[in-house]
Order: sequence, then structure tokens, then C-alpha cells
Amino acid sequence: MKKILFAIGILSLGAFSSCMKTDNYAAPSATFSGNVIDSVTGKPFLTGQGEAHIRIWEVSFKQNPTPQDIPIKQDGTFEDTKLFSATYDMQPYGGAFWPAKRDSAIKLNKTLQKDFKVVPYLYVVDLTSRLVDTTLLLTCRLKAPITTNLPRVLDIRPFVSLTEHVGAGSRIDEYALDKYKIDVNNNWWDGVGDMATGEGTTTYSLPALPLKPGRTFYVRVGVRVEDTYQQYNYSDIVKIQVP
Amino acid sequence: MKTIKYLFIMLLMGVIGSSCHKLTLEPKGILGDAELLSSEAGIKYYVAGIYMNLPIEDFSYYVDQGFKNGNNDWDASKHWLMSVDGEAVGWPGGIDGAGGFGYWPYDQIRRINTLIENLPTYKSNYEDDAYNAILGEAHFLRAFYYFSLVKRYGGIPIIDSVQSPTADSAVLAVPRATEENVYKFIQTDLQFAMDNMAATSDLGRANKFAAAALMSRAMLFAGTIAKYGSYTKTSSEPAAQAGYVGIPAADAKDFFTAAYNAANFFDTNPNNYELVGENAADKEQSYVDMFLDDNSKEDILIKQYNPSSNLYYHSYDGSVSPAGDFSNWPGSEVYPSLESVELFGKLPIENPDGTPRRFDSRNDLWKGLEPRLLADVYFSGMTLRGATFDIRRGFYRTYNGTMADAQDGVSSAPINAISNRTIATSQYQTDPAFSGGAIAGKHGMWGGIENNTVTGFFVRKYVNYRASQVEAAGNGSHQSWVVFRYAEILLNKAEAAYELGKKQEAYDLIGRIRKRAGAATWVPKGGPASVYVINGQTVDENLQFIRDERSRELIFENHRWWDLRRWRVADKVLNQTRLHGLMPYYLLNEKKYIFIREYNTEGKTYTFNVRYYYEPIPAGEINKNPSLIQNPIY
Repeated sequence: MKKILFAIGILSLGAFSSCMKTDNYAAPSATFSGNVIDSVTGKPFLTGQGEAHIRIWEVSFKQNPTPQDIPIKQDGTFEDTKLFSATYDMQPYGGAFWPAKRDSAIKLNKTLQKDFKVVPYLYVVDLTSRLVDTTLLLTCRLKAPITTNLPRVLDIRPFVSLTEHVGAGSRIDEYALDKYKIDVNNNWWDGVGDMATGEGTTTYSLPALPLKPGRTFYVRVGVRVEDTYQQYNYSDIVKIQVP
Repeated sequence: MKTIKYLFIMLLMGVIGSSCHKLTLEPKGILGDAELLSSEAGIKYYVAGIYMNLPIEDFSYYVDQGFKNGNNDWDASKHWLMSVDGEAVGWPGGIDGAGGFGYWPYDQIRRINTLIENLPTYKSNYEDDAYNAILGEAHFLRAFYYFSLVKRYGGIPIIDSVQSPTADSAVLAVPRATEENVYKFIQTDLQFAMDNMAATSDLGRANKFAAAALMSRAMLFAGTIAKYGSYTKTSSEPAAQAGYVGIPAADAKDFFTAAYNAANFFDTNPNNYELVGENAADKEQSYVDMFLDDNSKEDILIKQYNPSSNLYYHSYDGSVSPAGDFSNWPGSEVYPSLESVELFGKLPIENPDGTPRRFDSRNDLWKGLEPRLLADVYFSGMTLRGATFDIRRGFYRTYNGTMADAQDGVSSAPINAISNRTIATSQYQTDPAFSGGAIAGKHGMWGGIENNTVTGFFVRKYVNYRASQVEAAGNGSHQSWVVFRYAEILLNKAEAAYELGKKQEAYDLIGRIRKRAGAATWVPKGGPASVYVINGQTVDENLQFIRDERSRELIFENHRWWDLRRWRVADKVLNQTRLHGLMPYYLLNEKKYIFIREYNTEGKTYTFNVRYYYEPIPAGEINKNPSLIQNPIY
């Protein structure tokens, strides 16, 4: 009896093992990296972690494949090391810049380094910061590289964080409340700025930010326009040490 | 050995011989077209299945899981629309579930197409009127499905015939139609339904007025999207270039006119629908009862739950009032926000100098407020099933300051220092300074979100006060869900009329709604200021009031989420929004009550990303049908 059970055991083991198949397809290992450059200034495009993407479509097999998004880092670089070597369409996507064109049929063979150029909607310029006691006062001005057909300017907001990775996705929520923002809500040509030079007419003073003493904050100012994605164009980051 | 041989041969013969049987016999246990479509009784069975799955966002609608058919959906309240759109504070927050649940009901649409395609074969079995009514009902049902799709995705493939499964894959892979054409398809179907359906119907089944109601709702959606939606064919997004999202602005007027005319259908065709309780003596009670009366003259179409068979039930009563005193289980988890309560008007909690008004009793706050508000929301001191709501956050030793000094209730405000304000962290916690027993009220707020309010209010609309505390339990509620009611028709008409420039007519309709509600008379502004500019179109104060009236009248009826979306203001209304509550406090030194506007104690923020104006086309469907182009920003 025992022998029979044993035999059945061995047999069933064999039966189940036949269900297993080894996936012998090589894991994706190609690397695609590069920089996103502001084509006006030639400097890296200022964004927040994951607020803009390089969208890629693998067009080797299908006409309408599901896209993959590679997030652009805060310093304007991006990198994906887990891609298949194949043919891709590529496009900077979803960020606070004028729609960029889609590059067709780019071959990725093990490694590819490619830079993209974009034109931001707006710049936040002339940022000044002044610490009165523990209250932070910020002023800034806007500048537009392209003014024709610029979507309506929505609002200006401060972003505050305890790390240098500050942006809409990494901030102290308390300072993201509506009372700290400025609503612009107007078209560029309705008094926000000059159509010819692209210089903003107003110097905006942001509502005072009460900070906690004894800490170091990283602060930047962002502005949005009413495009499809409504992401922020940022100023440079300022480091504020509250005594 | 011989026996074995014979046995083997017989067995072999048996096996080989049996294959001579015919396999094309009709199965006897399945009802086919011939049985179902040849008589009115058969049709009733046929459409019952379609009604069962009709996309009605009722008590058992899960924002992230979809439509349920009334079985053991006791945790639906953790997934309600009202706690996603800011009407209430509940489990989901931060717009969880805004990306939808991959709704794709083409199997149901196929059933309707089968009916439309095969019914003519049996035309001789019916009187002309009955035949037309059935065909009309089928078109209404099909429009209902397509509307539920287009409001989520924009343009979707239009399938208006029964596809053959053996057809070429290129024929079966139908691309998306433009958003505009889907609305026009819905319009054609509903016009057919309005022309052919009967004027009356069984309870729970649609008639031509239900078709008109859907027409006015759907066309209003199309009109506002055309006017306020920003996607055009010049956008950079492929789905917008193809017109799958976005409707040409030039169409707005036509769609608003269609919405207006569909509402007018009720004036030009004889019917018995009315605003219930326009002259009621007790407007609050009459409004409460309206939602519990299956035969209310306000209802145009209801979805019934069946108490007699106990097959179809929901969990509403067990989910909006705290377990113990008012309900059995699972207990309350959703609470109206102060923002929605103050849509009905600012509450009289502040003196002219900004200091909180002192009350002898918490009940003095709500006496004399708008009856409709009191019928929608329970305040502290109101009663239900023999128990009284007792809501208090804690006490202040003194309060020498203004409402603003409380700084939305944050503990860092000087007046909220521990030495002055005491709030409870558990239900029966006591404090020596407060000899009146527990610091917090019995039904809030003392922490967590279950069985105690986080905003100072409880939901009252649809609550079946006639059920006992034991009956008010999960899977134990049977009140019907109202799909269309007459008040919505008037609100649709008012909004369409205003958009078409018929302002006085809009004001009169709003006046009628407010009179029935027992609300104060509204005087429209002569020179209304701008509230929003959306897609270059100004929304002025008077239009905003008309929209707000819609939000007031239809609160907790799963309209606001879709309204905020079609008005394209969801990203402005829900933008880093922290919803507020109204917290009652006892003042130790004055022996009075004050009410403070504070953040709700749950503390979620709500932000609506612009991409949620359209849900993503399910990835599985794109894999099956490569001609489907994904919506923007996904």
C-alpha cells in the first residue's frame, strides 16, 4: 500500500512539473538616457520630479502601442535601464512646455543617449527672498519666450520643502494651501506682460510664508498656464536658513 | 479471455456507434428569440435583464469598482461618489477612483441590438402601439448605456447592429466615434424613444418621459462640454485632433436647445409629474418623505429594491448613521462637508464683529434654517429612530476672540492651546475640568471616521426613518433609488435657458424650485460679476447661482461629480482643497455653546487633475482593438 502511495506521489510530481515552462526570453536590458534642454537658454529644463515625461512608443510590432512614460528628473535628465532593444517613437510629454514634436522610428540598440529640446511656457525671473524674523517674503516676475497664443496664465505658487527636491510632488502641503497662491487668471495680452519683448509687467509679491525657526528650507516659485497638463514652470531653488 | 474480447468489441461499438447521433438539437433549457421576443411577457423577461445591469449610480455604486446588482455590497459607502466630489468626507479622498473602473458594457449593448434587430420578425404578434413602445424602450436603454460611456470616455465606438463573431477582425475593430457624434447618436435614439414609447409604464420601467429626462440631461452635458471644454482639433493630443475628446464650440447652442426642448416635452405632453410639496404645510417632512415614496409624483424613473423576496437590497441606512443608537452595522462612514451645508447659505454662527455667536443650546442653531437643508442633513440635536444626535468636539475654558483666531482648528493657534481647549481622543474620555461627562459628544467627534462624524453633520437624505435601529443594517435597506425626478428636469431647463439667453425663464424656474424647498427668495443680480472664466467663457454670479441650486437640490444624488466635470470647474473647486466641518464647543466660563469652522478631523486634501475630465480607455480594450486611441494625458 505504502509503495503505491509513494508511486502516486512520484507520478503526480511529474504531472505537475509538466505545467512549468521557463521564460527564456532575455530580460529587457537596454538603456535610454539623455537631457531635456530648454532650447531658448540652452540650459537644462527646470521641472519637478516626475512632472514631465519622455513618452516612448515601441513601434516594432504594432501601429498603436500603449506608450511608456520615462519621468524627467528635476535636473532635466532622464534614464531608463530596463527597455528592450527595439524601434521607438519618442516625444517630451506632459510638462510645462510648448507641445514638442514626436521623433519617429528611433532605433535603440543596447544604449542610446539622446537630448530633447523644449520651449517652456514661462520663466519665473527676478526671484527675491527676504526673511523677516521667521516670515519669508518672496517676489518674482514672469517672462515668456513665446507670447503668441500663450495659454491663459493661471496662478503663481510657492513650493517649500525640507529637501532640495522641491516641487509640486515634493513639498510641505501646508504651504500649498490656496491662501499662499496668487491668482493671475488672465491672458498674457490682457496686461500680464508685453507681447513683443515677453517681459511680465507685474512684480508679484507672494503672501508671507510663516516658517519654523531653526530649520533649513528649500523654496521655489512655480507658475501654471491653462494648457492640457497644467504643470508648473519653476524658478531656481533658493535655500532659506531660518535662524 | 473470450469474454474480455467480446466486452471490448461491444464497448468499441458503443463508442463508435454513439457518434452517429445528431448534435444539432435545440437545447431545451435555453430560451431563444422565438420564446422571448414573440410576446410582451417574453419581452418583459428580456428587458428585465437589461434593466438589472443598467448603469445607474445608486446606493451600491462603487467609484472604483463600478455597478453592483444589490447583493452584499455593505461596504459601498467606502466608495461613494459623494465623498470623492467634496459633498461629503468619507473613506476615499484625494480623488481616489477618478480614473474609473474600465467600464465597457458592449455585451449589454449587444443584447439591446439583438432586440432591435430581431423584433421586426415578430411584428405580427403585436398591436402597433405595443410594438412601437417596445422598440422605443430598446432605444432608450441603448442611449442610457451610451450616455454612461460618453460621459466617462468621450467618444467611443458606436455599435448599432449585432456583430458577427466570425466577421473579419478589421470589421470588428471599430474605431472610436467623435464625442460629438456619440451625443448625436444618443439624441437620435432618444428622439425615437420619445416619439414611440408609451406615456405611462410599470414602476421601475421607463416611459417616454424617462427618455425625455435622459435627453435633457445628456444634451446639457454635450452643450456645456462644447462651451467650456478646451480640447479642439488643433490640440497636440491625438485623441483631441481626431475629435474623440472635445465638441466644437459651434455646437453648444444646438445641444442647449435640445436640452431645453426635451425639458419642454413635459409641458407639451400631458402627464401627472409635479414638484411634490409645493404647498405642503411641513416642507421638511414632505421633502424627506418624497424620497421614500415609490409612487411619488416627482419620480420619473426609479430603481427598485425588493423587500418581499429579499433578493435585492442595499446598505444605505446602516452606512450613514452611527451604529448603536441609530443603526446596526456597518455604521456611519460618510459625513456632509461644511462646504455643502453652507451652499444653502452661511450658517448664523458669527456675530457682526467676527466673534462666534453664543448659543444656550446646540439646537438653537438649526431652528429656522431652510427646510430642504434640514431634510438633507442631520444637525446635533435632531432625532432619528428615537435617539438624538449628540455632537461636540470638546470645550474651551474661555473664548475671547474671533472665529478667525481658531485658524481652522489647528492646534498651533494660540487660542487652541491645550491650557484653553480640550478635545477628546476617544469616545468616553472625561476631564476633571468638565463635569458634564464625556468631553466629546456621543456621536462625534472623537477620532477616526467610523460611527462618529468628522464634520459635525450626518446625512439625512434618503434615510428611511421608519426602519427600526435593528432593521437599519447592512444589506437590510430597500428604499428605491430615484433615477430621474421632476426637479432635475426644471434644473436642466433653467441651466439650458440661461445658456440660451432666456434669463427670466431661468430665474422663474429656480424660483419655483426654491419655493418648494422653503428657501428664501432669490433676487438675481443686475450686473453679475464673473466667478470663473473657463475656456474663455465667463460664468457669472447668476449662472453660478443656478448651478449651485442644482447642487443644493440634487445633493447626495450622485450628480455633483459629473456636474463639476462637465462644467470644467472640478480642477478649480477641488484644488488642494481641505474640506471643513462645523465643530460645536462648550464654553466653560460662559456656560454656552459656540460653533467653530474647522478642517474636518479626517484631514485629506482633494486635488482634481485635469486629465480626469476623461477616464482612460481600458488598456485591455486597446490591446484587443488597436484602432482605439487613448485619451489625453494617460
